[in-house]
Amino acid sequence: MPLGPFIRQAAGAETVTIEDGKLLIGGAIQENRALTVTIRGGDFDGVHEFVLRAEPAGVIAESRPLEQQFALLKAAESAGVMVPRPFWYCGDPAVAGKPFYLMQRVAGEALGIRITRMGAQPDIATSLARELARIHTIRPPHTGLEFLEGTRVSPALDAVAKYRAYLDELPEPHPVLEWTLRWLEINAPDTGETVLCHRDFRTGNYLIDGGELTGVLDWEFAGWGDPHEDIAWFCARCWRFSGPRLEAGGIASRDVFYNAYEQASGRTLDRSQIGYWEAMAHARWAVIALQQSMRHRSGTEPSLELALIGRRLAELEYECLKLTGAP
Amino acid sequence: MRSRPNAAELLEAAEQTLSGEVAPDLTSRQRYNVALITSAMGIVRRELTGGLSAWPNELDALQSLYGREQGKSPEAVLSRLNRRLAGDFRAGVYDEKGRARKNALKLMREDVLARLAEDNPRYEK
Repeated sequence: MPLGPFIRQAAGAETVTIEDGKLLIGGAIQENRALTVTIRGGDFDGVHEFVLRAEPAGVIAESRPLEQQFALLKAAESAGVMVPRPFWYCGDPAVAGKPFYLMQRVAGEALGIRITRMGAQPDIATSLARELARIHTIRPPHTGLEFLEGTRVSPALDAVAKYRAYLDELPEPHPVLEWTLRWLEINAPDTGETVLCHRDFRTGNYLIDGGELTGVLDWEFAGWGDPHEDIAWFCARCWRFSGPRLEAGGIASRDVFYNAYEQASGRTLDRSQIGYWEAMAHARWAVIALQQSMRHRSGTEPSLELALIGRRLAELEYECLKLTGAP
Repeated sequence: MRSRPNAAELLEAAEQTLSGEVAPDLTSRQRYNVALITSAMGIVRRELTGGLSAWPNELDALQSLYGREQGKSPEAVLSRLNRRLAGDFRAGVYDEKGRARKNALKLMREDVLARLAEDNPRYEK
């Protein structure tokens, strides 16, 4: 069954016409295609701008399957988080060549490099902090999110074990990352509050349109964790693009972001824990970068973009050394 | 003797032609690809001027930490000693503050700074 009939059935429509759009840039990991779909009849009557998100050729280990991403998007939507509205998931590869889901196409700029070139945007940072607080209202157990793994030892030590296992699959040794992971092991905080962490909440993964936040994207890494992890990921040096001195995502000072989050969530952030999770952030991105470059090196997905991610390692390791207090 | 310009000089000229002459006439997607290409060429150009490692003393520094090895290629020694250092960090060999840890971390810092200069010289530290 091709895409048209699938949508017709899912939407309970009479007719469906699809105008195929272009491949959207900005996903080293995912494959996104813009579609204009005209639905006649049924509950979804009208012209829709959709994004069709499909599984790419090579998937990195941490990335969740599409069906889970779709469920996370649904959970976020129900919690009132500003996300592109999720429509339908389809696991049958006969429809579009591989599994996919359709979501609303939200207007706006997502490219980190362009957003951070516009300088300080404290209002956007404040809106983002409020969205993050809303995401963190989702707690286990949660209907529809039963597939999310529980904590084994603690969120921090679980992460250390996971990243070590990734490093063990790589052909080269990585002493700086081993030092960092050991530091993270020794200094791991006890398990605190457990909430839904987005785990990729950063500049580059939200949309801005007309000076306003229009959507939080990319839910493929979400899982149960410590709220400080998301705060630290947002503020980590590696996600500030053209604005390294605006420490909250390259768009605001930390104070603006922290204060808005604390006000919206009712939590008091522990500054030392943010520092800890920021070291974890760089270790994690370094491990992901190594996996990305392996997708190219192994020949499964030859791509200059993926190859070059491998040469981002030095800057991530530089931050790791700095954050772990190495001389 | 080879004719000039040499490899690094040619790469630099090619990078400039791509970003200065070719890129402006392209679509934004292709401009993005050109930026990737010139970025890769820059790394190659800087790597060409170096030796086995991104910094000249890596092998010496590792050997002063773990002792000298004979009869193996420098590549093999470099890889073996890096593996040992990585394993030692994980095993907690350098947990205690002291001379050994200081030397190991100094080595890591040198290495990271040298690789950073090769891979992303404009990075704001």
